[in-house]
Amino acid sequence: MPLLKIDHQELEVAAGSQVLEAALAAGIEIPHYCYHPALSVVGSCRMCIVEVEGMPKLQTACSTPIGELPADRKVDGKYDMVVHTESEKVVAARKLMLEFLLLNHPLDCPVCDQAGECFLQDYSFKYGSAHSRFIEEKRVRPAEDLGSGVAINHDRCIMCTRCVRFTREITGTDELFVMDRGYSNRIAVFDGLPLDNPLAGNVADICPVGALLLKDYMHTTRVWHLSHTESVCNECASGCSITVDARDNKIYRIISRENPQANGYFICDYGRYSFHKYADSPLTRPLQRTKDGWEMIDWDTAYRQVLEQVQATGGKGAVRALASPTFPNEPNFVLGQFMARLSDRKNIALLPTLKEDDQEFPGGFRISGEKGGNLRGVQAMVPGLAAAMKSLMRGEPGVLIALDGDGRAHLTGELKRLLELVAFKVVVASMPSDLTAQADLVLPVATPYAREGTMTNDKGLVQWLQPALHPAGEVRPDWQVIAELGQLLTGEGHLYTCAGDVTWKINQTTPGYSQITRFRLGRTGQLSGSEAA
Amino acid sequence: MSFAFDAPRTKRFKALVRQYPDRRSLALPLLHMAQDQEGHISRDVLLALAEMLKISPAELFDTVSFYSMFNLEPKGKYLLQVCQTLSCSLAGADLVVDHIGAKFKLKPGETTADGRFTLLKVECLGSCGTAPVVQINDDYYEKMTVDKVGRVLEKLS
Repeated sequence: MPLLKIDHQELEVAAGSQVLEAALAAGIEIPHYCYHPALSVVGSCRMCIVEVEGMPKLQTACSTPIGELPADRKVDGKYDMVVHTESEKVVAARKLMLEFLLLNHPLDCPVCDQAGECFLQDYSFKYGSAHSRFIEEKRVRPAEDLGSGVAINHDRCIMCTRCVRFTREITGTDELFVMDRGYSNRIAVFDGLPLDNPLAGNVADICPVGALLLKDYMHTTRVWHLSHTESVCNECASGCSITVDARDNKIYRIISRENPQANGYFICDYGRYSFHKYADSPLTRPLQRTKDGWEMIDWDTAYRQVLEQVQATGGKGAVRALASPTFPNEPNFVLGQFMARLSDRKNIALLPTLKEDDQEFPGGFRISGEKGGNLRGVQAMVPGLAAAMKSLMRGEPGVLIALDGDGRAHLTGELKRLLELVAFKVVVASMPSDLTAQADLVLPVATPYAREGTMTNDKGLVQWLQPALHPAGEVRPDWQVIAELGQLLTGEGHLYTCAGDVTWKINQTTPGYSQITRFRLGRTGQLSGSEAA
Repeated sequence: MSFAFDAPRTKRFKALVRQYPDRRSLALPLLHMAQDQEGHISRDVLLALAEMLKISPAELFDTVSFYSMFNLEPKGKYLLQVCQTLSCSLAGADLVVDHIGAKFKLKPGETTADGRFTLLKVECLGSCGTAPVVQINDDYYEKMTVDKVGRVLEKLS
């Protein structure tokens, strides 16, 4: 393997890898705009120029491959390449490059949404000049709507073409292109064919400057006011890593978070904008059905209701439960645990959720058609779920405890029959849905982005969900509500004080999860094993 | 209004396809053929060619808009392109432009109302030795003066 010396660091790198790749992997920052690890290399922004010993001119680090030299030609007797990323020559060249990039830039950072996370700002601050020698009038062009909720501000664009390459290589939809050349160069869509694909929002994420912006987020807040919570998208079984940006207990945007084991670099627009549907859920206190609608009650009254109904309708043996693939592993695990006590897991089945076809993209991105995001997790938490729906139809009408699907429950014929059969329906839900509409008692739990716990995607990757919001009103965490119901029905206390306690119990008792702990999961999760029970 | 190549050009297209294993490389030859036939590259032409080339109309427009020799707007029967780069400019290209402009009441970039003449100022036509040069459709008219250009236009109109 070639030995690379970069500044004062020695790196062994794979032959054929580019200098920029190798540097970034080793945590060395080389400024760049057009390079993106998921896209092809074009070397157009000229920001990653570095000095390579033995080469007369500065080289673009993104397109300078490192090869192996014959033994007698090694630099200093051992290096295959010696690179300087911060030499005087390099810094001076970067300063000039920035002056070019900023020729027609409006310098409107005070009103620009990118400000605070803009690489043009960062590198201007580090390498740029406070003054431009350009005394002519700047080119001014109106902003345009490209479609799919993405707007372009041409004045801020530096023509790195990341967005064009994204639509060509990742989505394969090819809507964006570079129009004209030279001075009138700009990013455009073809007349009548706007940006239209379910990954479109990513072009705003990968834009290194403030040119491409999400209309949804535009002019709502400044990025430095946001708190960033690393979490996982629940919307389908792909389980993409995301960062949830919130302020004052309100989510402003969701952006993708790099995770090679899950989504790579991108997320889809369904997940990106999903937080809107969970905002301001009206479920903030337990609700009891009365003759003329719903009545708000407190938790103690709610639990007493459940116990009375269980005693009145066939006893503990007739309690049925529905585990939900839209909830994390923890509440499902606790549900499985106490149902095992009550009826040896005979009376627990899986809440049906929507299934569509997978959507695959040429760049490898996949939106799973399985809308119950934690399906694989639930199946591991509660063994034997798949065939159980029928067994719930037997016996006396009793109490049904259902974990709802955040509006993603699929009311199949089987589920409708079950709902008619049971005498009293307790629905544990974060959002009003078709299922809560049929409930006798609704127990409110945290919405997806206020949840804590683990999710298992369809590849078996377990990731930690961090809550980005505080639950509203008297809403309780899902695992807690289920644990309290279990305590009520089994008469045995539980020892869980937080979601992590349940995770630990899962680790101790669930086949395939012996490697899963809160701390091992880290930022990008851990694959669950397939050890037999 | 949709676009299709006429019979001889369709034949030419079929011959060319075999020469280009990568279909999208055929973009420029097809664009030239289409411009020959139609006079300019319209939206319909782009949509039809993109389908033939198996690329998106956006990618094709990317290429078309890069090259100044593809006309996106209809042009007159005679396209008068006056070179305005250094040699021609020094040799009096401006006088030629002014003369044509005055004769047809045109500004550079415009077409006469009868659709016969379009006047364009263009960059170097690569014939500095015979400056100033006017290109009318596919032919060069060299060492132009106001008198000479007047005579040429007389013949055309």
